[in-house]
Amino acid sequence: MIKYIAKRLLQMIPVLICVAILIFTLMFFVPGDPVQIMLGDYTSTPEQIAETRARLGIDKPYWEQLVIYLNGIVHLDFGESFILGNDVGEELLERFPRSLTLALSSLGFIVILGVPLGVLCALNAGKLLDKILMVLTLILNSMPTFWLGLLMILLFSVRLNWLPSNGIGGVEYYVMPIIAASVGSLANITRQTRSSMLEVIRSDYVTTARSKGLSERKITYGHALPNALIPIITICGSYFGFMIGGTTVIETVFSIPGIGSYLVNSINSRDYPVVRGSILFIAFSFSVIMLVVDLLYAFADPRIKASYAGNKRKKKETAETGADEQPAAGKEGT
Amino acid sequence: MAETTLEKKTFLSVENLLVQYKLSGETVYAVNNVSFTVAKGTTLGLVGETGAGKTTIAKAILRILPDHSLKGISGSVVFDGKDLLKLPETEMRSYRGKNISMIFQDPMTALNPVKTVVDQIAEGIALHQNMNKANARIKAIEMLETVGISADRADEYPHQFSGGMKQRVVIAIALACNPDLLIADEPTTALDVTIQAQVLDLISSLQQKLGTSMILITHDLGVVAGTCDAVAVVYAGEIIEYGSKEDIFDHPMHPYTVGLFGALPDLKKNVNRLSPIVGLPPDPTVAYTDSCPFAERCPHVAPQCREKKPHNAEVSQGHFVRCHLAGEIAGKAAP
Amino acid sequence: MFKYKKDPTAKAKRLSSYKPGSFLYVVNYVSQSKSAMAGFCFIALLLILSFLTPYIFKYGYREINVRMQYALSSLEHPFGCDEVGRDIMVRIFYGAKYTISIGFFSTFCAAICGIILGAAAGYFGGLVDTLIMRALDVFQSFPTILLAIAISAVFGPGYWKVILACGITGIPSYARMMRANILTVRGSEFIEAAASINCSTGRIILKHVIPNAISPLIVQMAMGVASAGLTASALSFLGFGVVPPTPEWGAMLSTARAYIREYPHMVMFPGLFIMLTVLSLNLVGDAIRDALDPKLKN
Repeated sequence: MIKYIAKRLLQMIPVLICVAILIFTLMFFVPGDPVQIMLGDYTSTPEQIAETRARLGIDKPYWEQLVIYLNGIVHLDFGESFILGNDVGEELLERFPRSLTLALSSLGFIVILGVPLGVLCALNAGKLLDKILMVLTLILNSMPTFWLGLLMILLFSVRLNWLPSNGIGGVEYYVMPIIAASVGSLANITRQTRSSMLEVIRSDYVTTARSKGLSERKITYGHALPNALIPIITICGSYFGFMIGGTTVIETVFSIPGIGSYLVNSINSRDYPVVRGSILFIAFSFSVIMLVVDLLYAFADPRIKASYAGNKRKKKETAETGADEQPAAGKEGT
Repeated sequence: MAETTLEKKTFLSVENLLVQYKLSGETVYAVNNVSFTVAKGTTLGLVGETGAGKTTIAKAILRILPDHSLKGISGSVVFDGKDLLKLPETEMRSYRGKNISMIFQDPMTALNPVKTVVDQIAEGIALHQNMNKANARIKAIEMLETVGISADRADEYPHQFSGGMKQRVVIAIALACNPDLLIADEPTTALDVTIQAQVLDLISSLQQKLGTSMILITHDLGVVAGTCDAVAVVYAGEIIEYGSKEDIFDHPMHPYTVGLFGALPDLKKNVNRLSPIVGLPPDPTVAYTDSCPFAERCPHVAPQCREKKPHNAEVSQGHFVRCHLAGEIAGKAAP
Repeated sequence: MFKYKKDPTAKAKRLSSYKPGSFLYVVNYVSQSKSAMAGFCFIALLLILSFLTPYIFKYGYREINVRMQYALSSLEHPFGCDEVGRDIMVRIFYGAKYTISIGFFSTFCAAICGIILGAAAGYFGGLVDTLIMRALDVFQSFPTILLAIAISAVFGPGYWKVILACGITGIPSYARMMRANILTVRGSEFIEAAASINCSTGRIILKHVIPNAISPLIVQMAMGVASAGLTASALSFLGFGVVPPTPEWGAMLSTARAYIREYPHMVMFPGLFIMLTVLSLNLVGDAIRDALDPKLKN
């Protein structure tokens, strides 16, 4: 298992370096001059512009800049913001907890509410409750997050004045962003859990469990749910990645100073070090999340755990069952 | 057990069992007026083609038919003096696994892939024998050893076992609480030919050791000959012939039963070609209330077969046939 | 355990007269689903209205009317007017074609590129496979919307550039699917048979492999249109997609956001139409999926 984790972490390094090079290259050829935007007016003299370019280090040729940049990345130095002049790495570390809080709480919200709702629907499949929830989730699933965010601001901030509409602070600042970010995925998880659960409920091992005389509650939560959750874990993982990206939209709507809004603003001002830094940072956290999801998957499903642990176990097993299967194997051989 | 003195006493009797499913708006007549009895310590074989309703009969006795597609179930299943179909669900649960248990057709899918095998066996033991987890585990490991799986594999998961081993685990689950009745639903169909015999021997020997009665569902007449005391031939959800093994094997009366034997290779004679039963099983969405369901495929079909449904006639003691022409055909088809 | 004969009801009879998986079968299946037809009609109606706005409505989508600034709903302007007095309803109908066409075009581009890349990776294997799959790994190490933002940041805003951005983000999933299909099909005997009668590589892929792999790809495409439309409107909302004054719905919302406290009607309608459009596309997509893959049906 540890070997597997180490292997996956090592595999991430070349991918992230490629991401870094890709971002750098794309940004290098982006139309639009950051210095023009920085200096704002068009009255600056060519000397001023040239001086600023030299100060920012963007007067050097592509290869030289790339080497300086990659060297920085290796030393975890993301450079300094063109606009604000502060260290991008520090800024990212300051902003990251906010985005992470947002994404993690949204995910928690999705899992805690979505999975039980899905189970509820599956257990009442075809009944009124199920039908209502299915229509509702279908609609919510099609709702753009940013519009939902705006509608919530309209209702809870503008009309009812219950919750603050933007910025950060206490828990109340996170309520609307979390709900807006998660409703669509919540609806989807409910539907996925329902269909996964329905499939599992009809499987043979659930009939076996029933034939043992177990109570319906034990069958549902002890036998069916653990199996139904296996595909849900993957989906949740991909939603977490989706959330990390989705923070760009939600943070913009609710003006939360997280990584997403940092990125969006810096693209508009052509603040290259910030753009590169935040994209790389998000890509890194995304890859780590995907690894965590794969590991969780292994814990939920012993079959996958076995395949991670390597072939050692398998060999031992075939040696043991050999007696049972030898005649069959012999037959196949002829 | 107390009843051992009353051996051969009928303790399961199924009367007029009727099961209907609904499938995309249509009614499927899966089991139609099936009646049979099982005596203590004996084995009844349910024989018939795939789709004839054998598994449905078995699941109806345990009341584990899928709720979502079940349309109606009626008749009575009297077990130990109680009608199982009329019991409340909670009381029925105490019968499942404890008094009646079932071995399923496909061991590949019958075990929960995310639980260790010992847990799956211990679960039923802890429930029915009021044991704590540790004791149930000890009993479960004993059970595993009984079916020929060594104790050090107890904490493995089903995917680590071969098909034959999995079926052994399923047998261990079914026999864990010394049930009075064991329903084995084609326990060997999904297994490799060489393992089939091992598994069948295991089931028979355990059955004899524990004094369990058994309903063996199969389409393999050879298996029936080896293990059963009585045989019921199921066709289109009905028992068309029912009697002792000797009755059915030596004096088959119904043309379908005769056909079943015709479809078997006879090793004593030099036959070039097996004689299959022509045609396909009947449409289960049709209720055969005024004709014989076998009429379309019957080589001896007579006008009355299409006009009237044959009733259950007792041709000799304990040998029932549902055919208008039972007497005549038996004479013709006799070997 | 029962082998059922074909459902005798008329609907099923008509359906069963087509080969499952064939084009006519899917069309027939979808046309029998009420929700899918409702979705289809909504999309079709929107598109028709979108192209006919100049002939149907009194106001043009660019027509500024300072006296009607921020006007609320009225008979004259059912959805009200925006910050410079343009009729919101006309703008919404006119803008329908952007969201819908971006959804379709980008899905189409993604599928074509993905299929070609996946087919190449799967068929040639070796170095080509490694290079393509590693490149896709890099693309897949971003969340979709982030990748779309990054691409838009490079190319700048604009209709075709959004299609490009949304298209590129979709490529990896098609490519992986196609590659997996090719690998399965490549081993099968009928491909060997085709090769043995001297079929060229390109012909084998085109005539034998793709038809065998097309079903799951179509399902993926059907489901992809809605999500591509949603991504596109999110991009426009952030200012990286289609930009004002073009009446793309996301862009309209982006502008309207500034006036949310005083004039909420400007926020309501564009979002409502994004939702209805995405819902309709999803309904049609679901029906196509059910038609091609009955296993996934609940």
